[in-house]
Amino acid sequence: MKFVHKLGAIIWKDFISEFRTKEMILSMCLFSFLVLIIFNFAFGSSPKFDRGMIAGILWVAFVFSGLTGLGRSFSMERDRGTLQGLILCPVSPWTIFLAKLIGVFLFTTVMEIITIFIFAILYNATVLPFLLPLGLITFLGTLGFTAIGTIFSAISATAKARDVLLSILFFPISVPVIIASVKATGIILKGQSLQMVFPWLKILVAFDLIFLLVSYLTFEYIMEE
Amino acid sequence: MLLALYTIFIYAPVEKTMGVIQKIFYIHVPSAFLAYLAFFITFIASIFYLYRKDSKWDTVAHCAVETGVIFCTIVLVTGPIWAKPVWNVWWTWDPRLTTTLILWFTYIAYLMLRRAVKENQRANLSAVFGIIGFINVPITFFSIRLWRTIHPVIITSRGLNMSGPMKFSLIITFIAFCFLFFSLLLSRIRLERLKMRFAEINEIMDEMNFKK
Amino acid sequence: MDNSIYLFAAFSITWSIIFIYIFRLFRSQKALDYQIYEIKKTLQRNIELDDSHS
Repeated sequence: MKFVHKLGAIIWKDFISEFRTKEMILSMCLFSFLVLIIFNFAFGSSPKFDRGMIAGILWVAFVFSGLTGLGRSFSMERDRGTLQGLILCPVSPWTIFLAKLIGVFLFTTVMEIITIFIFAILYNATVLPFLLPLGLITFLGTLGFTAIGTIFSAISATAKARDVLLSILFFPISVPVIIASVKATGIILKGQSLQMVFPWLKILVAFDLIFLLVSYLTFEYIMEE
Repeated sequence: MLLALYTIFIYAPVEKTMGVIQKIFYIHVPSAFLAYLAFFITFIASIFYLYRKDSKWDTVAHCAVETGVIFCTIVLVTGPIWAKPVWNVWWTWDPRLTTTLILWFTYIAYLMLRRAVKENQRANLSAVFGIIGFINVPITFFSIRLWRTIHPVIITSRGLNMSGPMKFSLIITFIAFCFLFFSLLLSRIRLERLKMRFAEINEIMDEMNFKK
Repeated sequence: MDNSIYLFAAFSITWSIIFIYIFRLFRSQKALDYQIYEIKKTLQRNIELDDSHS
C-alpha cells in the first residue's frame, strides 16, 4: 500500500500544479486543433479524404501536442528546481517514472478525447459506433508514446536544447507505435473487420510491455546525478 | 596504413564479375552488416557500462556509434545509387530500407544526445539510449514489414542467388571491409582514450601550476 | 556502359566518406600532438624556474 501512496502523492502534486493554471491542457488542446486545421490546408482541401489518411492526421495531432506536454514533464521540475527534491525522495526511481507517466498520460488522454471530438467534426469521421475499439487503440498507442516520451523527457531535462533533443530522440523510437496506431485507427475508421486490427494490437502491446520493462531496468541510471 | 592495404585488396577480385552496376553490392552489403554489428556492439557496451560503470565501455559504445553511422551512411547512399539504374527509383519504403533509415536517424540522435548533455551524466544517459535504440530495431522492422505486406508491393526484394565468382568477390570484399571497420573503430577508440587521458593530465597540470 | 557513371559515383562517394572521416580523426590526433608539445614546453619552463629559484 505504501507504494500506491507514494505514487499517488507525486501524481497528485502534478495535478494540483496543473489545475492552478490549466496552461498545459489548454495549450495541448489548442495545438492539436491547430494541427488538424493545418493538415486540411496541406492536403489542398479536397473533400475526398481517404479514411486511412485521416487516421494519420489524427495521430500526428496526438503525438505533436503530446510532445508539448511531455516536454513539460521533467523540464518543469528542472526549471523550478524541484528536480533535486524529487530525486532525494525516498521512492524508487521507477515510482517517479510511473507517477510522471500516469500524469502525462492522463493529461494527454484528456487532450485526445477533445481532439477526437473536433476531428470527427472537421473530417466528417464516423466515430461513435466504434468508440470501444478506438478507445482501446488510443489507450495502447498513447501509453506507448507517453512512456517513451517520459523516458526521453527525463534524459533531456538537463540539456540545453531540451525540446529539440526530446523530439530528435523521440521520433525514431516511436516509429513502431505510430505505424501501428495509425494503421489500426485507419482500419477502425474505415469500418473494416476488426480482426484485421489484431496484428497491430499485438505490436502495440508488445511495444508497451517492452518499454515499460526497459524503463524499469534503466530509469535509476537516468536519475543518477 | 593498414587501411590502404586492405582496401586495395578489394579491387582485384571485384572486376571479375559481369554487369557493371552490380558491383555496388560489394560495398553495400558488407557495410550494412557492419553497421548493424556496430550498433550491436554499442548495445552490449552500453549494458556493460551500466553494470560496471567503467568508462572504457562508454568509450567503446560512443566510438561504435560513430563508426556505425559512417557505415550506415554508406549503405543509405550506395543503396539509392544502385536502385536508380536498376529499378528506376531512388527510394522505396520497403522494410529494410526504412528500418535502416530509422536506424541511421536513431544513432544520429545518440550523437546529438552526447553533445547536448553535461559531462557527468553523459555516459549514463547515452548508455540508456544505446540500449533503447537497439531494442527498437527489431520492433521497427516487424511493424514496417507488417505495414508493407498489407499494401501492394511494387518492388520485390533482391534475391541472393549469386554465381561462384561473385560469391567469392563478395566474401573478399566483406573481409576487407571488416578490417576497415575494425581499424576505424579501434583507431577511434584509441584516439578517444588519449583525449580522455589528456584531459586528466591537463587537470593535474592546472592544479600543479596553481600551487606553484 | 551508361550505368558506369552510377558505379563511379557510388565508389567515389563511399571512399570520400571514409577518407573524410579518417582525415578528421587525423586532425584530432594532430591537435592532441600539439597539446603534448604545449605541456612539454610548460613543464620545461617550470623545471627551469624551479632550478633558478632553488
